Amino acid sequence: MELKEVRDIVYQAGLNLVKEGLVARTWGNISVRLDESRFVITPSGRTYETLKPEEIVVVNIEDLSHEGDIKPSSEKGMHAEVYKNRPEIQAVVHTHQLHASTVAAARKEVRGLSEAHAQCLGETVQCAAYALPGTKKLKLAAGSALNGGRKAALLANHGAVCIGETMEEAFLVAKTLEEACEAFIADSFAKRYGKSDLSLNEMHDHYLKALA
Amino acid sequence: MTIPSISQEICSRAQALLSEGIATDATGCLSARIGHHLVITPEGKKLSELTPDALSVVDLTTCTPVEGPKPDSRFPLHVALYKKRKKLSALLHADSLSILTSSRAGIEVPPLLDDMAQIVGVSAKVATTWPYRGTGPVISAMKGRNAVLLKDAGGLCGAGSFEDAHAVAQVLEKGCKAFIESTFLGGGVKINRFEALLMRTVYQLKYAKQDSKNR
Repeated sequence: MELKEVRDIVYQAGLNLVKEGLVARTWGNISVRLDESRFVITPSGRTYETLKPEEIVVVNIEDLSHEGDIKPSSEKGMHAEVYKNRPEIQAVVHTHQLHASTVAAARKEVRGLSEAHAQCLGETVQCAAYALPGTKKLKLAAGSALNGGRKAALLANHGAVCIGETMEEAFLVAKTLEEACEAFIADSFAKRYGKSDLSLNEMHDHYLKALA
Repeated sequence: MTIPSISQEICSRAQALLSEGIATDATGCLSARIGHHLVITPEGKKLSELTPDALSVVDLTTCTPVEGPKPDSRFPLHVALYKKRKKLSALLHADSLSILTSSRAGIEVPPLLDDMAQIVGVSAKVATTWPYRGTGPVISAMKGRNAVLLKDAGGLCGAGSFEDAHAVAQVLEKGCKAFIESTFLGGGVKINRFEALLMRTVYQLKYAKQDSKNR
């Protein structure tokens, strides 16, 4: 694909992820593979709504050097790790989505997925070991949690990373992960308290009663 | 900024908070510092009914209303915070589901997520004596942080702009949700205090400025 085309894909994906509530403000980051040695990624600290396609940064997969004056996302190493390890992957989205972040805060593997969720995500979604944002430790942990052909991983105390052979697939993975994590939280609540099919409001009420 | 322009921003921000469910119509309250005054939503007015020409203006020095309708009864708390925290320019009350639950639980919310550590602070404390012991305990509980939980009454979020205060509220809601609902999964794992402080410092000194610098 041409540079303009992949930049447009990233730009549009940013707006779509904001619309779906999977990222907000300057949080998260999005990339698309440009060729065998490069990918394009959202800049560091920029809001998706004010970003222009031409500001999306070209980064070298091997040495993480970037073209131009605009700095790429500090999570560029994690994206590069995916492109290095998984030649079939063309798009990576790192989200701060709500339900997935809750499971990531508990550092749990998402199990017991429904058939529909498992078809998209695999049998389980692993939680990558905790590491500070932007570090080599985080990129290695994320890469490891995506092993086995997985399309999604939780990042401990941080968020999620979702990948696909197209941006559409990565986007679908992110949405499916959010649904799967919501169901996992509800199932865990039901197992713990013996009550199922409660709304979030009701679960919070129960939490307060249990504290009293 | 002028009083008319900040009043317009209060009204538009109130609508955004309502549409996201961060504030509720009857109990929401927003204020902004403008010079030696603060502009604040009036007492008994729903957020959905706010108009820029009908907000209250309070003198920060004397803590007395000087213009417009009767201000929200929480204005002395806002005045006290603006006086204590010179970099604060916008405050808003948030009572979305998880923030409200946390304020009712009365438990300090630790940093389970890195954006909570960066944007809210190393924890969100609960001002358990609010409103009976005045503003002092609230100011103390918010020290070094951008938000505080008010016992049984949601959260108060502040920053240098409404956009940033809004972000604080979004992240506080997410952090409270993670804290509460991770208990269903066996409990959240805290980010250690040193790393939480490190993340907050790096965020404040570097990352928060990137949106305007990295162009």
